[in-house]
Amino acid sequence: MKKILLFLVFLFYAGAAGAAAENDPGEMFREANELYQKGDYGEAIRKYENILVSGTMSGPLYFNLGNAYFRKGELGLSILNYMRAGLMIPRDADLRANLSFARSGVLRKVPREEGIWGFKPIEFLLDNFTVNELTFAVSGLFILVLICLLAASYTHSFRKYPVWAAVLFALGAVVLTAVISHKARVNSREAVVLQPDVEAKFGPFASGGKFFSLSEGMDVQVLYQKEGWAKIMRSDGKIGWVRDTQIEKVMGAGGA
Amino acid sequence: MKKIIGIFIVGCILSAGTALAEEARLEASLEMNSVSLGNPVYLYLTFYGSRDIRAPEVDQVDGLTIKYVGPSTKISVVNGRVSQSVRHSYLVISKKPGRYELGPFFTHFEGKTYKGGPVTLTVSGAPSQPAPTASASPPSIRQSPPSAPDAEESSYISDNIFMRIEVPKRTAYINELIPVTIKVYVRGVGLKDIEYPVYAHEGFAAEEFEEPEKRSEVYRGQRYDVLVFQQDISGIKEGKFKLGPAKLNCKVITRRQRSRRSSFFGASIFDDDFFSMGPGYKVYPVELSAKPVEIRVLPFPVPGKPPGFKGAVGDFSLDVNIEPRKVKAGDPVSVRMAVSGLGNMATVTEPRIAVGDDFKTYEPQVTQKEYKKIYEQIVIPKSHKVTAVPEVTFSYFDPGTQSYRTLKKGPFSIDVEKRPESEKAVTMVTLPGEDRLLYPEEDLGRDIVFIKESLGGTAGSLRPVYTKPAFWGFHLFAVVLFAGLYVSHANKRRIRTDKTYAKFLKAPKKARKGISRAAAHISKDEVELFYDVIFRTFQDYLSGKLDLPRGGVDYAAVREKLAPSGCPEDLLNEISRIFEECEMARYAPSSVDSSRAEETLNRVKKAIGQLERLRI
Repeated sequence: MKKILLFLVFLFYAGAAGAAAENDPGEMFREANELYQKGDYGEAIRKYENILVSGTMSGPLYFNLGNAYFRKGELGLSILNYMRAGLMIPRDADLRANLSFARSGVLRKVPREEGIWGFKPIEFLLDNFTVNELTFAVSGLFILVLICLLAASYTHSFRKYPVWAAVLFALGAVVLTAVISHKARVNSREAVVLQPDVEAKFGPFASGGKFFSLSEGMDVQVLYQKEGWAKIMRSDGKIGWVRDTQIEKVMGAGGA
Repeated sequence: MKKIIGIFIVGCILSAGTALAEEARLEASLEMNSVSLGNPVYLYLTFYGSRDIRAPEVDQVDGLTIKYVGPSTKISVVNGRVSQSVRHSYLVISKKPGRYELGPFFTHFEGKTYKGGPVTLTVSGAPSQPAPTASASPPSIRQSPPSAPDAEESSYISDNIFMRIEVPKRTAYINELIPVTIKVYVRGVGLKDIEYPVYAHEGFAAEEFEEPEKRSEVYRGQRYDVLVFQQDISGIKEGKFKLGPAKLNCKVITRRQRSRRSSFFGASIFDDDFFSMGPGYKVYPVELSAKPVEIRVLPFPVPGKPPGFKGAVGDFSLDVNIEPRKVKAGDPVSVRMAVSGLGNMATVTEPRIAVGDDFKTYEPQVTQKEYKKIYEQIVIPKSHKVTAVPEVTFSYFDPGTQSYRTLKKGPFSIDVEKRPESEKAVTMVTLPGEDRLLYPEEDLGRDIVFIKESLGGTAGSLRPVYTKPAFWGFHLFAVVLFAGLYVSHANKRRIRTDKTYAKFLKAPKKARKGISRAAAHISKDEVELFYDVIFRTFQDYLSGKLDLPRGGVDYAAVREKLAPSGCPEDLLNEISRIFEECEMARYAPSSVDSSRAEETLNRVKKAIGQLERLRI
């Protein structure tokens, strides 16, 4: 009886371990990579997306998914996933190279409007750091402000130094907070065109006249969504309406 | 406070003193009435009665140079009499001997005109400080020194310090280098704060001054210390042009002569003016000047001008190096051409290669050393039929021989192979922001970078961290911690500095200790000691809580403090009873026993508890 019981216990743990290995994101990632290397891009995409469905996401995962879509010829989804990877690993040189190469395949090219953030140090922060990294930097500055104020209350003869340091840290925190606010707003609006040739209309109705065209893989800003339509702005500043199934937001449906 | 009193006193003295102020007047005086030639002397114009008088106009006198130096003011109070004055100082430098009358001088104050002076200055002919090595008299200003063929005399400040411009020739060709030397001669005096000379040089391009050089030189039989400034210039257009006059600012340091004037300020601070360097020296600013020099700039001669001549002037040599000598059609060949020699390097341009249509060429890269200019040119043979890099020529004008010369090198044979059809010709590329040709461009392939092997750091969502409650919880915790530490520190500091507050805070703890001690006496049946301890404990507690002196704690004082803060009447009566019981035990110890003591103890405990809840 004891032996049977022990055998049952062993079976239970072995089964559980097997199930755990099957759902291990690292293991699934390796399997998907093997499929990619064999040229089975469809199956690799399915595996990569299963990892995402299980609630695990990472920069390299989106990067590889972008590569798989690119190899499969899905330019829009490829760029979308590279942009998602950019939210997590913005300084990755491979990612920048692949995104640039994929964008070079977008059929229609439109000029980009220079925003008010066209100031080198601010652009550097926007391009090279994630919202979370900037948020932690602000958090660190905030803690430093508190430490400096505390130090100022403990010292009498050198009080002005910690106070000045606190003022500087606070200013830094304010600037970074403004950058975060801008970046978060842009991130939440960014979307990629997923269909080969999309007409942007003057209004949110099918019979509306065509204003301009969008190509697969172009990135747009979603300004407003209403009853299956999205009001979008192209990189040259032109604004029109498209079906919200023709685009996908980089941050997902809850981005806006 | 002291400052205010001081200002008040000075103000009172000044206002009172106005009535007693001395009569306004202008006085003129000289530092010394006679000096030797070239020695400076101060002229002082002092106005008594006000400090707010502008410097009087002083006319220039032939034979003297008079420069305004600055004002100094004075206030003195003697026996309530206020004396205010302003002294304007002028530096008088003699240029020739003689007897000079300076003034009279005029100024205006409160609608009246005041006159000062005149004063007389005698300048003796012999300079006061001959150089130790001097064997003959220095040239006098009155003498007209014979002009050297290559130099012009300066306009003298004195015999001890003057400046000259020297140029080796008075005619030169366009672009020919002319070395200009400006010399400052100094004898028997010192110089400081010497600036670089400035002079007009219209029609010439001038290079930077070299570092000035110090040397000793004999000039007209006198030995001088000479400061030499050198600079190369070159004519840029044909015609007659003047160099100068040159100006140079510096300060002269001279030894003071003994003063024979009677100082009307006595040994006041006015004697020790800021123009003095020390007790025995005097420092004064001067502007040295040198007369201009005329130079004639000649055009290039027309006969014999070679076709490749581009304005280079000097005496040069040409060296050419070619590599590689064996190439395929379309490959680059570097032609290195070095022009070196003496002359105006700025006018040297790249030598000429008559490449024709056989070569593709790029702009040459130039590097320059002091007497050498190197041009590196890339030439690319277009076909395998090319057999040589053509002749390299460089033409210049030699002002020494007054003729044109053309240097020739080559042609240089090269072996050019035919490039196979499959092979692409080399393209030269440059670094961003530079024009230099660096390396042949490589035709790179393009594709996406391979997938990543590692999953990397993972996250549960793309939501920013600031949307998570834990993030804000952490910051709230940090703020609370900061506030706690701040309050604790502030409290500790208050306890350290505020004795009343410290007593107030310690009172309950001290009371608890006292009550335990008193209770111990009851258990030992020491009733008398109990009352002694409990009374002191209660007194100490009330003293700390109500900020009363320990000896002044009685019921009346306690009531006075507690009643306005809303203390219930019951509690006040209870405190009164405790005081009465303790008094009774002290004066009639036999009337109390252990059970009574127990009752008093409870009463004290209860009263303290109620007072604590009251939050006084």
